[in-house]
Amino acid sequence: MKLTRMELSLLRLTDGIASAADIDRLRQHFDTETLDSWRELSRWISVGVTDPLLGVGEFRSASSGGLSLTSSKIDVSEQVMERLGLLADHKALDGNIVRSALMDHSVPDVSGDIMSKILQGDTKNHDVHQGFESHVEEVKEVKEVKEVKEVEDVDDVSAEDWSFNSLLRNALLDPDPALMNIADSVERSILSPQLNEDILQEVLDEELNSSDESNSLNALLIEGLEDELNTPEEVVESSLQDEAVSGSSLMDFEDEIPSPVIAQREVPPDVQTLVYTDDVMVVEFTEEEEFSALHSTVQQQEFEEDSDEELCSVDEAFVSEAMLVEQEADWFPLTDTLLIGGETNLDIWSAVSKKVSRPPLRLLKDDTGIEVVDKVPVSTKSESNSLQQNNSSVEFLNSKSIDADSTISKVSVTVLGSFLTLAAAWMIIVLPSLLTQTTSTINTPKRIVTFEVAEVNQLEVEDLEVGEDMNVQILQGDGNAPTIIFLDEMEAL
Amino acid sequence: MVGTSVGSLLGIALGIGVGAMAMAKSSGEMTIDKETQLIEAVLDGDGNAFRGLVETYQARIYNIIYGMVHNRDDAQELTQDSFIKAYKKLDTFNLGTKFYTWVCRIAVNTTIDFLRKHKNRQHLSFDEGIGIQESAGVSDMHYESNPEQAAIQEETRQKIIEAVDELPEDQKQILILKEIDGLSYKEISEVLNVPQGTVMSRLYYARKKLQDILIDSKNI
Repeated sequence: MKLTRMELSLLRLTDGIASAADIDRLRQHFDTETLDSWRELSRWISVGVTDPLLGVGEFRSASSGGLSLTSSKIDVSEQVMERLGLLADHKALDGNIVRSALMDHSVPDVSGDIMSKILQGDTKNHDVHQGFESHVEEVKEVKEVKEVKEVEDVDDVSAEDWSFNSLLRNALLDPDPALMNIADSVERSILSPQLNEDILQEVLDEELNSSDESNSLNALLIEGLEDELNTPEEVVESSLQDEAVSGSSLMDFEDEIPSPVIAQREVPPDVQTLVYTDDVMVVEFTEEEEFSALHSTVQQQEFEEDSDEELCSVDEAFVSEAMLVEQEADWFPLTDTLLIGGETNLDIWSAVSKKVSRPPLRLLKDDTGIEVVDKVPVSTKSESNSLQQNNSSVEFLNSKSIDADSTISKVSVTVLGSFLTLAAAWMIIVLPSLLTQTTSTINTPKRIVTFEVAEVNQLEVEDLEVGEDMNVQILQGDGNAPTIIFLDEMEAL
Repeated sequence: MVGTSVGSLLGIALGIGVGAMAMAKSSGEMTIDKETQLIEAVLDGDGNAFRGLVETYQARIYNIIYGMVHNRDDAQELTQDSFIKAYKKLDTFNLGTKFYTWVCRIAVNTTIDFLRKHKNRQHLSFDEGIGIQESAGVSDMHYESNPEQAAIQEETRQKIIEAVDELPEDQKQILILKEIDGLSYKEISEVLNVPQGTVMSRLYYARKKLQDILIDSKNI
């Protein structure tokens, strides 16, 4: 599951840790009342679900140092300790409780009866045995009389012993006649000095012979009691444990979960700031993953950019009609010129002519054999040199140095002048339309002069010398502007 | 209109509950060292040492359980059961960790088991709340002189409880642990053993649903 930034902002708002950015974001989507309801939702829920018994007073006493145990209206410690104490008593009573529960009350507890009678007879048997030894020569009848007399002389037994014995006997008496007989026989056997040597064995034998049914039941009962008594109390106790503490033994919090993205309410100020400024936090949640795995997912989380559309909503009043008119006014001339196709007002020639009006600077000669003899006013030569320096990198293909006083001067000035005039006219009229060409052909009545302009559109002129009546102008514009060469004959001064 | 209604609803509902969160966090805090000492004493046979742990955390545990069952008797009984289970299983507690988180987890599990067993049980929180509140004398003084507002307040409480009960169980648990006990996202994730991001998302959707439910009920 994912939470958008807006949802996270709402979460923070309710948690009381919303930053200014959160509030600004939420204000774009919700009105103030709704935001207030979100802000108060936490307390609202806590009030609704909290026990009214733990009212304001309880909370305030708690906030001022913890719940007062004596004044707390909810104090289960006594009950818990009492129950734990009862549990301790139950441990001691468990044996009896279980024994009683296991006991079938329809079966007589003959074993107790027997053992009590054995114990009861111990004192008397001791006396009987002494009498038997001291009067061994006495006749059998005397012995019997003595024994009977001793038994009947109950007054000789202390009142306490008698009451105990009688109570025990009465308690152990069972209305079953067979059992009565067993008891009587046991008693008689005990009182008989001839059987005193192994009285227990005899009693048991006699009892066992008296009833097979009671024998088996008693054996089972004794066995069951012994088993139960031998059972460790911890086992019995553990069987009573509620299994609701499922997995409690595995509650191992050693693997600490990483720090929360959003801390609880009471975070320190620095942490709060950290949380506030974490606007890019969009958490990608995986429902069933362990947190450690989730944490790694968070590291690779996808950040949604303003998924709450806040950047997409623009007020209609933001762009006014006046703004549109002003914008149209700014754009119209350029649109008219470039897109509509209207005539441009670029006046290249006027700009060029201003520069042409300057005095001629140079003399040009190509390798076709045409030589031009010109003269340049002395005053302009420095300008020519300065221009040459500025255009020192200009290259003119196939160019050569020309000596103005060489054989070129022998060529007819008239022919040359006309040629140069035509060439200049051609360059002025045609050249602008041929600026993109790299090769131009000039047809003249007499000769063909070919200028090859390098692709880089650069000319290199070096050591120019011109005649006195020849005007040569080389115009080099800025940047990628074409180079314009003017050859003109000057009238003799 | 809706916002106004909710706002007025909140204004009434907040009448008695200011400071609930403060209670949740401030009551029953104990250092881990102190907890460890007590637990070791209990494990050594000093049962009375367990009383300190119970007294420290009983109110918070009780509130969490009450928020889930909305019944005082059941909440008290379950609180006792939770501590007794904790006592019996104390030997399995990992010393050095937060005892409250552990016992809170036991309480939540115990309460969930209880609710499963008593799924169709009607809880009497509304009437019970009024009666006990009156008998205990804990009504807010502001409303004592205004029975009408007190009635509205209780009606609001009832709506909130019903709205919380309509939430899915997993969202309700997180909502209660967060809003009532004030646990952090990390602590909730430890108690419920779910990722922290899941805690955040469930909490948001729980709040959203609660907000919608309450607004709808108010409009009706």
